[in-house]
Amino acid sequence: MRPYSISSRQFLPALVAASLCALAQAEQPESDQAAAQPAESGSAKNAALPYAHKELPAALINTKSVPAGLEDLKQVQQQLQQSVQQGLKAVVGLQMGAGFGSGVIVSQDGLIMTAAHVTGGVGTEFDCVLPGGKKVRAVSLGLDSENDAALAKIITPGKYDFVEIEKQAVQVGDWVFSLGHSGGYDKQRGPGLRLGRVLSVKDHAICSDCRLIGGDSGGPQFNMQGRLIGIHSRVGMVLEDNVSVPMSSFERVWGQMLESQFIGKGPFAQQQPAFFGALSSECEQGLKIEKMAKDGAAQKAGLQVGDIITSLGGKPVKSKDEFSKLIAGMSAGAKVQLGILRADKALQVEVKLGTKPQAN
Amino acid sequence: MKMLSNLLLAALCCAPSLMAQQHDIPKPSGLDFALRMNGEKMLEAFDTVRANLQNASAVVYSQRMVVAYGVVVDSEGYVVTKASEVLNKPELSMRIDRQKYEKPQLVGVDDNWDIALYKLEASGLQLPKFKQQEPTLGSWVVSNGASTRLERKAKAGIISAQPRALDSGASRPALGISFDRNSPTIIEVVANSPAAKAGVQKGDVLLQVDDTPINKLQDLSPILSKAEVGQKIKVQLQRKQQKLELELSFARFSELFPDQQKAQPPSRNDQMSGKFNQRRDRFPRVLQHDTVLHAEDVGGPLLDLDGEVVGMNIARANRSESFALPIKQVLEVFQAIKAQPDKFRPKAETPQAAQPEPGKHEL
Repeated sequence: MRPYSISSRQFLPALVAASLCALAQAEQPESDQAAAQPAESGSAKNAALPYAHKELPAALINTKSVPAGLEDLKQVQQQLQQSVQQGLKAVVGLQMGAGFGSGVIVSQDGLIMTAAHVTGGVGTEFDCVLPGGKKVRAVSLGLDSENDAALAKIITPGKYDFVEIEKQAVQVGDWVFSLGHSGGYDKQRGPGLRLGRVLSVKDHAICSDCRLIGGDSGGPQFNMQGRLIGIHSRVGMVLEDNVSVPMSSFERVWGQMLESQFIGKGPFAQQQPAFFGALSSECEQGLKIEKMAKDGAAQKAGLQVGDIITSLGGKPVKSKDEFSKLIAGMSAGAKVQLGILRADKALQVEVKLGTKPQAN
Repeated sequence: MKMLSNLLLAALCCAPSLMAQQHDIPKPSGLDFALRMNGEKMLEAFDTVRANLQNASAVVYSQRMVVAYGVVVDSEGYVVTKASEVLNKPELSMRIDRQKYEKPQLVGVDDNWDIALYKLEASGLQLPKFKQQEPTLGSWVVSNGASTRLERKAKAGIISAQPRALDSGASRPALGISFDRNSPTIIEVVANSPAAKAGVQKGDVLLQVDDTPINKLQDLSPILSKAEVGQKIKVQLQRKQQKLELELSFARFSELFPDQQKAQPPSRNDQMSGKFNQRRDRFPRVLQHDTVLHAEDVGGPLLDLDGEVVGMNIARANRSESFALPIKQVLEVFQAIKAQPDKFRPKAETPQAAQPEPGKHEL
């Protein structure tokens, strides 16, 4: 049985966007969701998920093996109808090229949780469809390609409705509901709601009988209190194989994702190797640029033939080998500082790394 | 799917899609089957609602197979059902509660709603309660599940989206040109389409749309995904040695193919959905719910927790979407057909819609 990924993403043009560090500085978050931003003094590695603060009792219905009758069913219905309201305000559609996935806003300044196979890469700019149909711009942050977790951030300034994240782990049998733009954004329909129960829980996967389909990928799954417990990832051929990524999988790599790191080697996303776009020769002071690819990263950054590269990201470079090794560890879309000599003057140049041009 | 031509989407589906490793899907072994959404124990909670299916629903048989359900709308033996699943089926019979009725008479058909009205040799049937108010998002709903001679079983779900008109396939934007499978070479131009009127010809190669160069078919996707009916685009074409620039505007797909509902190749979402009803769109208004219906489970009543009829199931659309017609409109259609059956004569059997030729992709 082969599981399907459930975004409508068919292909993804590699776009290069502003790095998120720059972004986080440019925007002054008014939110008290401090964790959505890299902590001021420490590194983002210490950042934690913006978990809900208040402890809530488990939904009453979860204590029973099944609803005993109409009264219990009405209780489920009432909880669902109350809790779905905030979720509906925070579910977004992510238009990645021709494909479409879902996501959910988790901070007032527009941090989005979604699936790695939806964003597909780091630093991609895309249209984000808010509830009601308004489009804003967003950029993908880091992702965990092994567990299908990803973050993105709305870059159109604004205050956004968001949902709270559940700290408590889900239990088998818990009632849960899913929201997502099944099959793509449809203004008349709105996001599709599905109710189900948690069927099984593994380290990086919650399986439920909320039936998911293409376009739901990256969309949110909630407990009956309306708190986020999972992000839709994939389905199997059997109707009961509907898998979400739990919050704990996001927590593990939260700081790294905020720092726009590409984590792991797939299968949910494949890293685009970074491409610098210049040929150089070794000289006494460093690497002398001989030739540049048209519209390559080097040319776009304003480098000139004859410039001598002396350092990369603060590390001195003397050989082509050293340079290649440093670049190989970075991903397309990342920004690096180059130290160069131009007509014997030392300069700092920021280069946004690109992707290797595809032969047509 | 609004954002791009279904046909083109299907083409792109040929690209290898991302498949997770088998071990990434946890086996749903945790929760006992009986306790799941439509598990045996779970459905016991709905038993008082289920009981109403006995009289509210009719089981529709063709020969001895259950092919659909119906809603009992009048105590004198009138039953509505899903026309496209029942018409032309041989040897129809129906069962209400435990009573079997042979040879139901077709009174009339409303193709707009896909409703057929039948009359049974029956009188004094117990009518269900009808609730004309539409159920709100998140409300429990109960539908017909399996049937035995004695009992109707239930399936449960919830209202899962806003009520709305459903004309998705027919209203999407289209230009009226077909491309070769792999290249932006035009291999067919639909007569009287915007493309034909603008002068596009078979054999032209698409070079550019507005400011976007088109090197491969996929380059078109972002443009199509944003296209709207009425929108104008400038296209650059290569015709033999000549380069041409033409202006086209998007028309409704249904305007280009008014006489036939095009047979669509299955989308990727269809492929993961099991069997669904052939007619699953073009309804003036639907309620959407997440009940896992089979294609044969439609036509019957949709009940709320009060056991009242709020709708008539009309289509299993895909893995996560089932549709019902609101009962208010269903009853109006019933009254209209009953009053003037001559206006609702079934159309002569229509020939099967043409299958798209393999290797062609239209937009």
